[in-house]
Amino acid sequence: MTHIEWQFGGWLRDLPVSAAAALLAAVGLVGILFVAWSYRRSRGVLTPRARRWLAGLRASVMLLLLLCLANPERIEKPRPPKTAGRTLTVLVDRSASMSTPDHRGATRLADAVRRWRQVEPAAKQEFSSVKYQRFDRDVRSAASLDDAANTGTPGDDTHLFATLRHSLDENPGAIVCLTDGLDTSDEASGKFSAEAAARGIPIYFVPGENHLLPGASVALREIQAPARVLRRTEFTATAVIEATEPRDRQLPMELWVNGKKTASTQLAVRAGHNTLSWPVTVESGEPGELALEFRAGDQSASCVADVVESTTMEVLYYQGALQWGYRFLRGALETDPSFRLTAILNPALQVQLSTGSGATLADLPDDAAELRRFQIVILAHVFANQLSSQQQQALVDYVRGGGCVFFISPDTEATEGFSGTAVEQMLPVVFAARGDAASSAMRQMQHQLSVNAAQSGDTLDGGSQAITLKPFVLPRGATHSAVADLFLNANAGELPHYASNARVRALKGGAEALAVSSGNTPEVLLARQRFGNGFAAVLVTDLLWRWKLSLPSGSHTVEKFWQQLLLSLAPTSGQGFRVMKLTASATVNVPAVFLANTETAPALEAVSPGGKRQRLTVSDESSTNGHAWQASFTPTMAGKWELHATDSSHREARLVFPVGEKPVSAELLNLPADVTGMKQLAESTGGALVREAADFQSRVEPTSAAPAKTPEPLWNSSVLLGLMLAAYATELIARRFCKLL
Amino acid sequence: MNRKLEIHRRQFLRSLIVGAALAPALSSAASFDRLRGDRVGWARLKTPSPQWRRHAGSDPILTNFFREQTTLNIDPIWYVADADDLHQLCTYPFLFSQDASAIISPLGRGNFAEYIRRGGFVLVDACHDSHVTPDFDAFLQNQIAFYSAVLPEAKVISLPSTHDVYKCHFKITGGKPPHTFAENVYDPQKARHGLYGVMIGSRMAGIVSLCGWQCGWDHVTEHGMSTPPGLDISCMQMVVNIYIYAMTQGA
Repeated sequence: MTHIEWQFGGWLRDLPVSAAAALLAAVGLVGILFVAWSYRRSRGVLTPRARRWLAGLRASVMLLLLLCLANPERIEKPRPPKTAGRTLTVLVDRSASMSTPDHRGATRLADAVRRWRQVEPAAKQEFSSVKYQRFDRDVRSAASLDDAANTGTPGDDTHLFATLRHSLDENPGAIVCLTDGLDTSDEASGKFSAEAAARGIPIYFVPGENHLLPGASVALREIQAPARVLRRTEFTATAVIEATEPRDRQLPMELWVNGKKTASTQLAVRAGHNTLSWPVTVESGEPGELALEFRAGDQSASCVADVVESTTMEVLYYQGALQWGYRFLRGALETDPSFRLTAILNPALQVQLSTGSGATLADLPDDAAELRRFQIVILAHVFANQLSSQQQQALVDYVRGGGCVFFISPDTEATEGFSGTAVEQMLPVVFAARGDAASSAMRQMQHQLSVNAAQSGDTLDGGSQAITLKPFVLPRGATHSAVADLFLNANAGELPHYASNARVRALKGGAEALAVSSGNTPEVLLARQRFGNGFAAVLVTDLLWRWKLSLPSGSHTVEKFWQQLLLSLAPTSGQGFRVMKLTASATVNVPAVFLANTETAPALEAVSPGGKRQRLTVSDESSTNGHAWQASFTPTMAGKWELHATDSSHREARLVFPVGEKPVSAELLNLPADVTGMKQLAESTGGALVREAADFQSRVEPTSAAPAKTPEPLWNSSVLLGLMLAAYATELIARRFCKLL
Repeated sequence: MNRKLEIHRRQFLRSLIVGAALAPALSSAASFDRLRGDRVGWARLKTPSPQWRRHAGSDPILTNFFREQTTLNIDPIWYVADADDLHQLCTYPFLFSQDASAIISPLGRGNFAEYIRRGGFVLVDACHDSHVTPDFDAFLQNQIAFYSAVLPEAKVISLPSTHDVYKCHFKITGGKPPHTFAENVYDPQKARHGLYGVMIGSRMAGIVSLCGWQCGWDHVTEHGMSTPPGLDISCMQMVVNIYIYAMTQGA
């Protein structure tokens, strides 16, 4: 069900419809009076009838022009369900952290229930019905508050964000959540916060607090380094650490390369559960093996990368619109024979492309397996409706499996089409959605002004066009990585310049902004993030061909930039040989599972704290995501254990990890309630943190705001423009006839 | 005073025709349902020759054709790129010229060479009018001599009829470019010429044409002519092909 609304655009967009209509009518009236006045004072002698006709024609032109300037648009809005909005959903957190008593015997659950009982009568008056649910890892219905708070046993995990998402999908009027705000799944609060804010359903948190003495844990979860790197280049090795701390502290980290300490840092760990990454730029040196070992406290993990003499980079370039960027990018890559470019133009463009190198493909493959031979896939100026869901999924699978997608578009109209698509989910930025006021304004500006160009002249004498190129700017606090160093080490003159850019709504949490625009409110221009085992990067500018044309022909800055950017963006060749612990918390007498990533079966050996060695049996778990060999063993004592893996080339990877008497999880570490996080999340949705009855104020609208569908501009039709031109031409001819010209 | 404000009938009609030609272009330019790339301008190379802007008034007809037949985001109006202004040349990746050899100043020639070396592309198309191009063979030799002097690394070669430029977008029958002829009288001497590519190594930096395409679609300027039905479309299709070919080759 939809209903139609009308709105003015352009200069009238921000006014109420009635005010805009009144203003339009007033301007129209003034215009008509002016037209009438202008013909009263015409030079020639006119009959009253001719005067009326001429004035009528001119008034028609003026009114049609006014209509175009008013830019009326038709908007289809989905009609919200009639019953939505009057149900209150009350969620009760029944995880272990809520039921663990402190030294006084008080639990967080009891504290939250006590607070909610004070508010409940008022809430029941506000809403037509109240629905109770309890949750930990899963959500279950409950008959009443007492039922939700007392039935069943406490769960080992809290999937708070997943539960809230589930409740939002039921479209209630509001959600009340009795919790300590801890989510022990891997889900980041930032991602859910953006989702919840967009839904427009207020979430109220009733915090449960007590005085438990908090514990702590640190786990070196994963290390990442390329399997092969070029000699005398730089690459990035990364350690991923999970730390749960009762209070803010510094965590010392070290990187050892071939037995020498080459980098160290203190990572800031905030109170609560943290997932941190430490990327380090490493020099590859001469050909051979490079053993990398990260150390975090009493834990360590190592992997091996091969340094090679030369390598070939296979690039797949897919272009969705005709533009000049390809000519100059191709020219830049052709100067280095190690780049092999395969190009596809969207078939709808009806252009047959002759590529200088590489094989030809008719269209973007539907299967990620066909993309695997490319180190990087460039999507240049692509429109969302050009890619089928299978092609988009193939791109996502390709990146997840270790590939790199580089999305380039300077066009807000094009990027907003990707809002909410599978492609956007893997990219490091969130695009403005179609219909956003800011995005519409940007689109209008882009359309009217085009590529930041000042134009003058006309069709008879020719125009002149002045394009202003704007420089890339380094973001504040840019970190050192192989790709970031491209910009950090560049002189001002070597930084790219662009003519136009698309607007993004936000940089995703965990993504790295590599370049931004200048000015007081810098916009993200180039960013990347890890996605699965690969990388996704986005450049929201043109393909820098105007920059190339602006530089002297002797300069190779542009060629160098493109080559180094692609080399640094692409994961060179999968992951270096390493072994990973899949069991989050290794515990005595509980099997622990490990994974190694080699082509052939590795030899795995577990070494106990007492030095006793145990050979493990491996099973092949390889998939489309890459090679994987799995093994497990059951630790028999607490302490520091080691796992050694040796591949068929006698390369060694090592993992040192602690084994405890009891399982350690964020749920059982008595972490303090995340009151700040709950407050921020609640306020971003229009809700509040409820500590007392006065805090609960229903702000629920009878109908939830549903996003409007794409506006259709009504002025933009050749009929209207033709009518205007016809009226104008008729007036001119009539004026000539009446000897006024 | 009033005399100055008056419009001659000819000027008035010319404005009306150009306006009519532009109206659909304006409409389609505003349309967002097409898949368009970066906006780019169609520019003519300004040389000391008074003929550099001959037929320029009908360029909007060509740019409108571009927008109707391709997804190229090209401006409806035409621009001027003065050979004496390198910055102006480098604003446009593709330049149209009546006669590149008309550039005689060292500054203009230097700018032209630098523009090409940076990656620009130049299409030279001789006007069919014998007052402008009295001898087509001599015209070709002038262009070759010009390129030899200005860009010693470039070679002007005849393109085979199987070349991609004849099929990258529109299929040009037989791999032969369309020609316009003075008074529409077939001239075998002129018609024997195909296209000539300006090559720097394997890269094509420009094309020299003796075909007079710009005369083919010009029905609006004082130099306009009446051509056989369909010739105007054929001429524009050939230019579109060259433009797209230039876009899809390495600079």
